[in-house]
Amino acid sequence: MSTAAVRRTPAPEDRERIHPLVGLDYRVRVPAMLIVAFTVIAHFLDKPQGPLLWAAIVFTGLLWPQIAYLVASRARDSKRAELANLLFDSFMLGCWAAVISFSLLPSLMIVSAILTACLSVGGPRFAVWALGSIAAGALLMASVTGFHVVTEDSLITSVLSVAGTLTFMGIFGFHSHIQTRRVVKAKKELADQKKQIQDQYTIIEKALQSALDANDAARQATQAKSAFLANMSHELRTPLNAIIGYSEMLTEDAEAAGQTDQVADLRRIQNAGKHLLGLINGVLDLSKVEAGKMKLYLETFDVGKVIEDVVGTARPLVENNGNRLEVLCPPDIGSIREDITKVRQVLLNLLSNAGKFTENGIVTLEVWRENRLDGSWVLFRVRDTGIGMTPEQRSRLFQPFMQADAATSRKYGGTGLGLALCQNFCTMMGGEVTVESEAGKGSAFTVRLPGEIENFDGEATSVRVSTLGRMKLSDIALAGARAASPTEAALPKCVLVIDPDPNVHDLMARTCSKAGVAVIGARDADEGLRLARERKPDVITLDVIMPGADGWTLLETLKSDPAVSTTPVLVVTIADERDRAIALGASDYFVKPVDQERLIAAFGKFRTDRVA
Amino acid sequence: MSKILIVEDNEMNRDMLSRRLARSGYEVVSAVHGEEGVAKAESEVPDLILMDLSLPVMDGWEATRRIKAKRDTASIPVIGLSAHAMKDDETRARQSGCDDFDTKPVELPRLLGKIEALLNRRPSL
Repeated sequence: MSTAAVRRTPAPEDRERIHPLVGLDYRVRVPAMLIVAFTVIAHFLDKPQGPLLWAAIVFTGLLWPQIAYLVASRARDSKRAELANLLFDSFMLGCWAAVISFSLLPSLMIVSAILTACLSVGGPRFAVWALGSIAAGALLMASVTGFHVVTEDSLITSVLSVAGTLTFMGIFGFHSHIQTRRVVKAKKELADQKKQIQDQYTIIEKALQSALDANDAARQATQAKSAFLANMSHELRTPLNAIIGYSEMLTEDAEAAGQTDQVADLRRIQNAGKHLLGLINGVLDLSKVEAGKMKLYLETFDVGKVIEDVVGTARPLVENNGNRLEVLCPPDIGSIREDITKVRQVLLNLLSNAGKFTENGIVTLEVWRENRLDGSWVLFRVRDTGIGMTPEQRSRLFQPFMQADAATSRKYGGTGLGLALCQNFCTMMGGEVTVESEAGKGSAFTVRLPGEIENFDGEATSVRVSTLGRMKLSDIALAGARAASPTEAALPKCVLVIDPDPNVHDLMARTCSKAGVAVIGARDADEGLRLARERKPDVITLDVIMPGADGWTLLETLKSDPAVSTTPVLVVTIADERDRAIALGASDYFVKPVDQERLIAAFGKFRTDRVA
Repeated sequence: MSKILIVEDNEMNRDMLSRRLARSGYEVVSAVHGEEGVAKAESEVPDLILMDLSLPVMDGWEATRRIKAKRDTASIPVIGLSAHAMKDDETRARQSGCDDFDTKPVELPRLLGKIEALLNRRPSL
């Protein structure tokens, strides 16, 4: 690896970790430098030398391996420091070759050992650097000591050199054997993991399918139930109309005849009938919402006018209990586009509730506009100083047929459907109802409706069918996807996957199609480059390890081609060479096996970067 | 005395409405389905028609269209009545030619108001 390629500051976790190469080199360097030292001593055995040579021999044989280890292990980028150490090794051994007058066997041992080491650690380019370093050391030393060449060695030197060469070859051979075994083992593990992941994926897919099926069945059952309820309600209303109508007629007759005792009883029949009718109408409305048959009749209307109208109707109801009704509505509140009947029904319901549960108090209706990140809203708040609710009562509030409790129903009457309907209507209209309340202090209901006159298509009214049932379902289906990819909106349209492994293509196609991303695939470098140029994908994923071609070269080509150089490339591979990939222009780096959700989330990230 | 034609298939509703209208001082004739309604509109020449919209044989919308299409009956005001308090019922009723619309169950004072308004608009014969 060329040192020029290592430009990125290592990630924090890398600083904590010493590269395994440092330890490996230490274990090789300790015996290697000793062998070199003894070979040098053997060379000078019958020629007495000064203390300088002895110092150099001690430094090389005993001190340098320790120093090299310390330097590399304390470096911020330990791998880079170790490569520098290897270059220093090369330089120093070049010097020794000159000192021993290029004596054939020892020099051969020295050069072959350091070259093999550099080649195995840093690859051919690094080996060339090392060769240069050896030459530099040799030239420098030769220029100091003079250029001698000795062709004959003493027996002991030759024996030591041959033994040293054999030792090095043994070490590297053994090392290569271990590496091969590791690679084979890792590949096998990877295949196992892949299979496991795919098995799990299949199980999850099946579970999801059965959950969706169950959901479907439940929805059908709910719809059937709602349709039944709607029919029932209609059938119930006909006889009820007769009960109410005839009791009204009898009341009129009795009043005309002055039979006051009968009038009271007849009015009870009427009131009971009207209460029942209200219940049935509520059930009918609720079942329509649930069955997806409730329609919204959208029209643009003035909020102020509706408030005026609603207050007119509600004032007698509220003031019945000795309450005061206060209205706070700015005159410039403007218009909204909603179903006016339902808005009126919701507000009337909240006001009459407030009046019902408050005695000798104040009921306030407040209207205002709010502009928030998610748009413009109109808010209506009905606040009372009535009996209020405990948190427990509040939690049951919006459920059909649930009043605060049974005692409340007896005392205050009512069907218990009003608030459930209010909430359903508001949800249909794209808003919501919220409540704040404290027992004994009163309640405040806030309705929030979209304040913009949106999607106005020119017609005076348009119809929006309630899709509450379906909305709930799709929410469930989408929840997972949303949680996994918050950048969903920014996901790319098209991803090019360059990978020799057909399983990867299969997996990517499945996950991406779920996220709504189109996938095109290439199995080799040439096809990958061609598709990148022709199809202009938004994001490319690339496995740099490809048979018969160098993925690194492809990455360089992609990044230097002006037509595709701006397309983010995510390197997804088994090799651990993040720095190299980033240096060559990759946007991100993933080591296989990859968490698909993370990968897809990364697509979104780089898509946004690119657009920005 | 103004004559009102009630077109309504439900016997109890028809009975109640005709008795209450009779008590309010109207002469009442009735029909049980749309086709009969159209025929009675021609033969009885009422001053006003109360037309239920969901009717057997011929529905109220179609009956109203036919009444409004005939020269002899076109000027008779028609009030559409529907048990579905749906806005599209009202829209459809007005498109068919109804002059006004009300929902069932009938609230008598309100309906009487609508009847009077339409009768007063029309110069009596």
